[in-house]
Amino acid sequence: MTEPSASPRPIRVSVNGVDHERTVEPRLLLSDFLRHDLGLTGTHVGCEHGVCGACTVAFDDQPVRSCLMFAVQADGHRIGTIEGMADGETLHPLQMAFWELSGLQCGFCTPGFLITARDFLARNPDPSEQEVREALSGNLCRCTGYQSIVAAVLEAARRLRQAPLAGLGKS
Amino acid sequence: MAEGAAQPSPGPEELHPLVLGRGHFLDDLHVPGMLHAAFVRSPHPAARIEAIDAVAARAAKGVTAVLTGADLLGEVRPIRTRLATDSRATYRRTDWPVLAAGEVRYVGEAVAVVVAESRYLAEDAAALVDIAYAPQPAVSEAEAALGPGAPRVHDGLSDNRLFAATLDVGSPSADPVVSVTGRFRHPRVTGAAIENCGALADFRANERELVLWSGTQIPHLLRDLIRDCLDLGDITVRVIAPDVGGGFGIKMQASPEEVVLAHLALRLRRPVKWTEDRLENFLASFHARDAVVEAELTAGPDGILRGLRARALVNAGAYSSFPLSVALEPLTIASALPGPYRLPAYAYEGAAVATHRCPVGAFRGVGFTLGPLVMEGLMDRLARKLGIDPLELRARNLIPPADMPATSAAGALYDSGDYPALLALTARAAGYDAWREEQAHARISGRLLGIGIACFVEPTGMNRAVYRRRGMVHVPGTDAARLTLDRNGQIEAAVSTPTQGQTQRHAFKRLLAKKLGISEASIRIILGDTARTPYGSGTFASRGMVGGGGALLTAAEHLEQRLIALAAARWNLPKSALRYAAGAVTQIEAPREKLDLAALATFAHGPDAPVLADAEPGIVVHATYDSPITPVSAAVHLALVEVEKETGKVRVLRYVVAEDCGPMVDPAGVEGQLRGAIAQGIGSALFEEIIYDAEGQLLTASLLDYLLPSATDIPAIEIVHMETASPGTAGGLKGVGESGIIGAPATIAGAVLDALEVDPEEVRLPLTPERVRALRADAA
Repeated sequence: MTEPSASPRPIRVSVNGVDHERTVEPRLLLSDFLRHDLGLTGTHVGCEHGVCGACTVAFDDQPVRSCLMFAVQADGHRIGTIEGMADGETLHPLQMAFWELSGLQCGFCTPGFLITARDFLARNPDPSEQEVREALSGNLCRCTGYQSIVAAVLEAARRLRQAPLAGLGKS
Repeated sequence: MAEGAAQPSPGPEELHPLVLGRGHFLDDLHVPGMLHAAFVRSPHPAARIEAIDAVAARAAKGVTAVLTGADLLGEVRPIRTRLATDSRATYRRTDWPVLAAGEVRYVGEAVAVVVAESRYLAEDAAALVDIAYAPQPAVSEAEAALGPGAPRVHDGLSDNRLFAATLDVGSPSADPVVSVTGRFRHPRVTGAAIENCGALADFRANERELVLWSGTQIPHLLRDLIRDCLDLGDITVRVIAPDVGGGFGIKMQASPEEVVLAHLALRLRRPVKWTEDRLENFLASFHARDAVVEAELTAGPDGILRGLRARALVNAGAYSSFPLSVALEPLTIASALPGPYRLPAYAYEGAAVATHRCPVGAFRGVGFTLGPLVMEGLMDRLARKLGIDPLELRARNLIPPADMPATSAAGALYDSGDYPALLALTARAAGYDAWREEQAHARISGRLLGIGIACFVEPTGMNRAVYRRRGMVHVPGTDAARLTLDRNGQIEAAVSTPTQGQTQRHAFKRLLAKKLGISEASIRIILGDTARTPYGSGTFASRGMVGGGGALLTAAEHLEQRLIALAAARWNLPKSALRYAAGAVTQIEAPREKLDLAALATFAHGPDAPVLADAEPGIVVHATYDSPITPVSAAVHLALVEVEKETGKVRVLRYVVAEDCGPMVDPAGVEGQLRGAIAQGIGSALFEEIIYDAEGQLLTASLLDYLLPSATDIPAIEIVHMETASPGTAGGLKGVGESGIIGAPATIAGAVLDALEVDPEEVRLPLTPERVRALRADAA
């Protein structure tokens, strides 16, 4: 790349509560930055065109497709990934419910579902099944047929209503 | 063995790292010094390659190498998939160069590979490879490819027919009969695992070992192919499947790219990774189905079936894929069509034809999905013609349990099951009569409800005899397990069937723990590494539990015998005085005298270990398992759908399944397989279609064009079970991986046609809103 605007530039990003300073090419995708520059490979890439949702991360607490953003856009922002969802080795209630109720098979789409569901439950702590299905309809799973994912999100919602502090992760 | 100290895991252990984002999928792997590959792919469906100018690409920043087909001549042999045919079939092999040699035969075919310091730089340089093509006439449709003047996909062949087979059993009774006919078209679809394909290859010079990581479903067979394609001398190949983000059959084909990566690692003496992107996955990572079946079903006035005649044509794309070849779909359709029914006569012709499209391979359900789509479609027509309730018509024709074991009209052995009871169970669980009432009431108020039914069988874990009969010489049909009991009483169980997310480790652990009467905590399951697992077929065609599970159970029996021999030496008693039960060897006459696994393990590894005539020191046992029969699972699906009159949108209101896949080792896993496969089948029925234009250009190259079902498209699926053990397999086990997708397209199609009250000349999936509106318009 020869255009001056394409020359590497420094960025400072907070990921799961940890500050990272790196110099990156402007074209570097946020998903690649997280996965390959920071080694946070829990964020998965399924389509690189914003449809499958596997790469969903929290951007200043809003779920975004990290494959549709550049790392430089994260300069000065907070990113939350799957690696920051548990409290140490204590699973977030969503992670626990996914595990217990087989809300995953291969696990490739799972981080995107978990990040999306966490944001959804923060806004709607007592959702109906249909509301859960609509909230998750932007994330694709090819293994489960969704039923166990929906059940896991409803179960996690129930537990979070009983013990709301259990859902506080690091990001 | 001491039970209990460990807390029971809240879910399958192998899922724990995945909910934490700590999986190790292919693109997560990093080897020091690793380079990245990007492929240059053909934009033309058919063209001669006149010249390739790679000067600019080779000079580009960070580029290590650019290779074309010419660079591989004499170095890498094409993929050559063999098939042994008998007099009823013809097969013509295609040589598939791993980088196009002189001509290209489909859009997306790999023409060159660029290796660079990063994926970004590799893709930059790939765009600089300048290829002069001379486009040639292309043929995209199977029917057109059979025409007299059709362009030939392979110059060396006299026409485009790559495979043809016939079957003719019995003769239809001459009595007066009713007849129904139809044409059924299943779209070209693909597995669309959320993780794309890819490969990472590394040559470990000190060990003379070429390691290839790939999400493959067939590590051992892929290893065979790498040897077939490369001159390796004393170098050994090791294939490792890391965590795999879904396979669904697409990852059971060996890809040209995997062979190229293996070659690159040897040639460059550097590790090289290739991570396929979604565009490449749609262009070049194996499609499936793309079949049309014309059929006629005849019956007596009472609806009792007299005969079935069918002709299938499969659009196989440009090359025969490894290991199953283009024969896969036509042969599977042949065996699937008779389904669970008594059928006195059956005639079948099937063919696979080459076109300028991406090659087809296996995708969950393969030609088995065409069976119910055709047969159940014809049953519905017959029911309407005779004025018999469609459920009743099926009940009259199902093979009764008294006939078991039965031989199907296609010659397959159905070992066990009670198909009429399964149908009755489904009808009861669904409330079939109430559905019919609801449908009638809805009609009065102008709503279009429809009910779909599919009764079908699923041959699972096919054995050696089946692969031999089909001529599929690259598949052994066996699987294997090796059990190692270490000095601490821990068992390592290595099995030849890898997992792509079926929680196979969990299921195998349960199976083995129950068999040996020990805790799951003392077992570790090793999968997906050719250096650590014994040779076997792999995970596909619903064979994980039958093949891998059968091998484990057999190895466990060997282990029990070994433990009895050790105890006999320890006690100085004859083996006949001892028995193994619940994790220990006991004396039959003095049952309080026990040696548990830990005690025997310590004994066997210590200085006092006996010298056994038939065994090495230590405790390692091995079993290669050829299932004595191919067990047949069975299921019935019932769906209630509503068709929106104005838009043609189909909504699935209820979906009920009765499944008999034999004794369930992991019921939650079984239901997960069923629900996931049904969702894929609903996808085939309503949404998913790979579309090429008449010239062979792919029109559905993204997930915006190829629509996967989302959470709002799939209903809650209600499942009831029967568990009929197979009389012929270890543990009575049967498989279940594909069942859901075999039944769902037929069930949904039947329900939609029932709602519309139409019997179109051609039933064409997917039933998109546009097609549903057209069906309504034609009927009006």
